Amino acid sequence: MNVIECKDVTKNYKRKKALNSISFQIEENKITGLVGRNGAGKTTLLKIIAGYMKEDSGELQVFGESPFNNLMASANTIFIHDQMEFSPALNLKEIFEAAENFYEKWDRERSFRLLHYFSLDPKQYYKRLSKGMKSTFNMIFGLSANCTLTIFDEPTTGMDAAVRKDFYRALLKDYLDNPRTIILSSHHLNEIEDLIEDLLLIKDGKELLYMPIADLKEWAIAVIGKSNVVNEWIGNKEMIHSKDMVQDQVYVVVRNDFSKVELEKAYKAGIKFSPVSSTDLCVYLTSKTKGGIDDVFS
Amino acid sequence: MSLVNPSLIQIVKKQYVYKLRAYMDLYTRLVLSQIVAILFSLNGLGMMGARGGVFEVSVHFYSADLVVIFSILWAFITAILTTTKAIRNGDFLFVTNRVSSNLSNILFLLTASFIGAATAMMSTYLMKVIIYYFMDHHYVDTQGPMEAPLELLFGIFTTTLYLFLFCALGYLIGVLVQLYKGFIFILPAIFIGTIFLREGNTGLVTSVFKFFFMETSLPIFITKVVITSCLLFICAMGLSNRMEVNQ
Amino acid sequence: MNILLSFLPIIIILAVVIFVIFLTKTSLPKSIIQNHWVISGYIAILFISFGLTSFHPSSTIGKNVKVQDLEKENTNLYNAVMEGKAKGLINQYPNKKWSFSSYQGTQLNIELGKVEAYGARVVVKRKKINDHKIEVINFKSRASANGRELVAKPLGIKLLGNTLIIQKPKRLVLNYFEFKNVFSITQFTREQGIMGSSDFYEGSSLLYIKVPANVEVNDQSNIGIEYSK
Repeated sequence: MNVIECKDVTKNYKRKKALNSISFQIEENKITGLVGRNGAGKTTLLKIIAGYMKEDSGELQVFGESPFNNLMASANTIFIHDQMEFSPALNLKEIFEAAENFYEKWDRERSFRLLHYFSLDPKQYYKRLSKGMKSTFNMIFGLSANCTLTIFDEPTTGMDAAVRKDFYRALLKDYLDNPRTIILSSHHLNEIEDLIEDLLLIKDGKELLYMPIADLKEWAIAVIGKSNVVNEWIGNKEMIHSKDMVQDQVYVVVRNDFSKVELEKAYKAGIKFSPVSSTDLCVYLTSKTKGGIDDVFS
Repeated sequence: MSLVNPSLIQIVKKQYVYKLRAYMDLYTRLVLSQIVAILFSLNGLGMMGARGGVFEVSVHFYSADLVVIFSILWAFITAILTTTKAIRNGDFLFVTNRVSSNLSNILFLLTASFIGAATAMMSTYLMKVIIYYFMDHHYVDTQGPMEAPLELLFGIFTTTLYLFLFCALGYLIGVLVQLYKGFIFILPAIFIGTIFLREGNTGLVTSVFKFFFMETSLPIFITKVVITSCLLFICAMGLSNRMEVNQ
Repeated sequence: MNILLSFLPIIIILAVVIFVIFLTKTSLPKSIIQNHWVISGYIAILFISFGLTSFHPSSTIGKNVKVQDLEKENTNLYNAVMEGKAKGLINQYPNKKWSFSSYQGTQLNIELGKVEAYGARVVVKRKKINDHKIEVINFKSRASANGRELVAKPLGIKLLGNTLIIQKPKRLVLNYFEFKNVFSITQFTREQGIMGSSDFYEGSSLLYIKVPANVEVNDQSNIGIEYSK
């Protein structure tokens, strides 16, 4: 069963199209990475999934129902983001007690052990935490809630490198103990690459790529050679990325769907191939122009 | 996939309990405003001076009127605050939908009204004690037609109704402001405008004031307050039911 | 009606402005917000006050009185005194007594002291016997301020030779607090709230003088002395 079904969802803000007819399905018990540049619509999408907002058109279902104004969806979803503001009247322990009351699957023991591990004082008030400590606390909150659908929107903002590493490790361990559907958004893939199973790459409010992360490495390939040779060989294939190099050489990234004949032809023409890292590919795919920053300065 | 499926009533109850605890600073503000009102009241809210052949009397009247007025303002502003982003979004950290959020807010405001009214009524005793023990003045305690404990309960009841009425008004205004920020300026302008236009006894503010504050029949007063508050809350709920959570 | 009422709109607006600033100012000092003692302490003080009020008197001056009753009582007193039945009333009305014994004169001049006429009625009774004793009783003036009985200070009486001088009482200066019920109660009970009107009624003072049978009384200051039976 799919936990999330999203079909042609569009969401407009005053001037801007935040989501532009995006469609995808997320399966149960998978960790999905949501990657896109700032302003690509990641947070908007997550807010609609969490029931904070309503889509303008299209259809989005969580657990088979529309999440907007839906108690069942709300009770089974937790959305962790960096704008969370807990009541200033409650200390961390009291926030956990309140959460335990709301979330039936709340894991009290784990919540306090994590709190202890990350050296957060249960008697401390949320407002007094630093930015990084807030993120850490939010993360513990999200993990302990044990919700069937757990969403982290850029969870590591403000965390230092050590905590960040610990967090991903904790997330993975927790997931193995308690498999559930997790969505993790980030603007750089390399951080979450080892953790996620599926990747949903979005650009300008539209899904660009949705596939298992393992397949992504094979999905595109870099081609290096003399520019006229390479251009001729590529023909009218779409260039994901191209870069001029010294001595009239070019570096072009294209989809890796060549036939055997084509590949042989390439070897004969002296074209070299090299794999593209997933992170680089994401950057290329989501960049505004084909040439990247170099074009601005040329 | 095992899904939790809570009922609306369960969630409203949980949110209500949570709010009583989490909005603690609102009560602190109530206490501080009542203390300020008591200090203002101690000098007397009204005065009568009489000078006859052998008498020269000046009477300072004191009552909990100002404390109640301050508590009404507190209730009004508390209701507005519960509609602001910081507090409204707080619900979304836990299990909620807009209906449960509104219902638990109304329950919370009802409780807040009661607490505000009870402390305001009790503050009269504090004033009496201060005047009796700490001020070098004679005093006179006018006994109303009711027995003291009954009068206290009666006062708490009617004052709760007043506070709740203003909560309902504040809540609707808060929701309107959330929908369109311009109301922050438009609504006070209308209010102050109608006060200063001195439209006599026919003006809207005057008629509304008379409608509630001049009502001498308790059953009719209860009916008026309950119906008005319900209408205001229903409007607010209707308007806020499509409201999105923005940061 | 009341000064408060005319300032009400300004007070309201001022209070609203102060309040909006105070209540919406997002952060009070943390030590206050998170300190539950502010709230629990306040509530405790309220309950203690509630308890204490039942131990101290509800009023430190006067008693409840109606203006009509005061007037009626004053008339009764006057009538009784005129009929020579003052003896039975002495304990019912606040009064002060003077007694001047071994008065040898046969004339008694009554005059008002340096003060201008003051609304005191003077009633003289000539006793049956000649006991050389002048007795003076001043039934004090009673007033009502908002239904609260106030009793004036007594007249000053001096006997100099054969002249009895009546002096105006010292002015009673009273400054007190009066508690009124809150508007959310008075609205339904129709009692006077803080916005209600206030009233003051000042009664009159009665001076009753008993002179020995052989003493002639002269009204030196045109007081309008009356004689009882």
